[in-house]
Amino acid sequence: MTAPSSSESDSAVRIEAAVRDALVMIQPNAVGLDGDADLASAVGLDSVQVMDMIMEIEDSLDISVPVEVLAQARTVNELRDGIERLIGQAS
Amino acid sequence: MSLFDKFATQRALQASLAEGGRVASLATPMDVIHSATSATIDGRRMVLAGTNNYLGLTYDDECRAAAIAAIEAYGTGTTGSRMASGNYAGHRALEQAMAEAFGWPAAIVFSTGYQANLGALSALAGPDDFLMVDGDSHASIHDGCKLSTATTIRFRHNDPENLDRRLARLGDDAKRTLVVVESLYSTLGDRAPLREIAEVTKRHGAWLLVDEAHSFGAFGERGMGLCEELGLLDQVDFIVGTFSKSLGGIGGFCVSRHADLELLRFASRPYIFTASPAPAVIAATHQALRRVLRGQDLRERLMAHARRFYAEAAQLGYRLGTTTPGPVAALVFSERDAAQALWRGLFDAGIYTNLMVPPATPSGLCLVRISLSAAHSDDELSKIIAALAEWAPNLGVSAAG
Repeated sequence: MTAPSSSESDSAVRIEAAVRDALVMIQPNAVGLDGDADLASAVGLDSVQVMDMIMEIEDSLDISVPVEVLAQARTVNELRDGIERLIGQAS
Repeated sequence: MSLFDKFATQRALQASLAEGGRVASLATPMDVIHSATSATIDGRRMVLAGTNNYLGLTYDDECRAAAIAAIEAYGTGTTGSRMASGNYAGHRALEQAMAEAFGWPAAIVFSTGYQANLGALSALAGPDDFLMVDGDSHASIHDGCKLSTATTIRFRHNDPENLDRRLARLGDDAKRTLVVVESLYSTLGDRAPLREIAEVTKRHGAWLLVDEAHSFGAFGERGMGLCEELGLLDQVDFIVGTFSKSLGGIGGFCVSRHADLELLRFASRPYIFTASPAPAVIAATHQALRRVLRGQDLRERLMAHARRFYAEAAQLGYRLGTTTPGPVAALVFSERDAAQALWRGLFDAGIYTNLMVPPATPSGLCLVRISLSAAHSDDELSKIIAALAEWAPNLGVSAAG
């Protein structure tokens, strides 16, 4: 296994911060939520709120996320990983 | 394990709507329909204020006569797709009339308004294309995006600047992008900033489709909708709409200033793989279109009702989804209980409205949606407003100062 470079880990930290900021904006009680917690069952987000959250992330990171890319993402970690892959493909 | 296990949320919703055996706010049983604004529900005659029947044409004498004559002449159904045996003269004549009404070269009729969006979006945007849709779009637009093989990107509701940034990120691909907006949003009744959206779209070389489902018939000198009213028909590429609101029938349409829209007949699965609308529906719709074209009287009456309702509801202290009066008036609440109590209160007072709750609403809002009609009498409107006044204190709503 190859250790991530510092720029890769910086990027991951930045993306996770954007995801968590967006989550707290939509649901203020979700501060410090476990990265693997289901956003629907643990925080009570519905599908529209998850889409609103992704829109916050897009503006924060200045990216466009195709709807189909994160359609299956259900946790903070899945959102972070999906966006990381998307940015990786674009660069 | 059951296939129905995944419907736990729907099961809970179904149970909550029953509310101890009382008539539910969803799928409310309409037992007898008396007119465009009156029906018997649960044994009582009610004022209908949640039916999207903006011009009241469901009971127009000429529309009904046209439908009856079509049944006598052509039978009850077509039993075939437009691409097979269901391509009747009536369907073709209605398409020609729709195209002529817009002054455009092409129009396609679909079997429902939902299918019009599905059929237009899925066929227009292919695997190398992009769909850029307003975040608060109707389910038929989102489903059209899903059915298409294009990449779908959402932009912030009614935010041309946000659209601008997203189109800029696409670079040259913006020219392969179809921007999709509604002119009048059905939940809050708010209007799109169409002039600004058209300017941004054209500046990036993208294409623009406007869904006029709730504005066709109600706006514009000839009733063609908000694009006509704003003088934007030369900047819009496609307009989609429905026959099931102002026109009082069922079906949908897509019109375009591009003659190549005709090609969709050979590519649009929701157009090809379904039976064409019944002859009676087509005949009534065509007659309703004639009435819409000379319907300034109906539009003036509808807007007079809208102005009165918006002014009086705001005076009572209700929060509305928008401050610009229109045929959709949404009373907005942050708590579901308050919206549900008002819906029930209005129902008990003999008024049928629509209760809308998340996730069918934007921003987690709960709504009691009232749709106004040119067919409402002044007395019916007074009854609705009086019931709102009676319920205002129960909801913590106080008269505006």
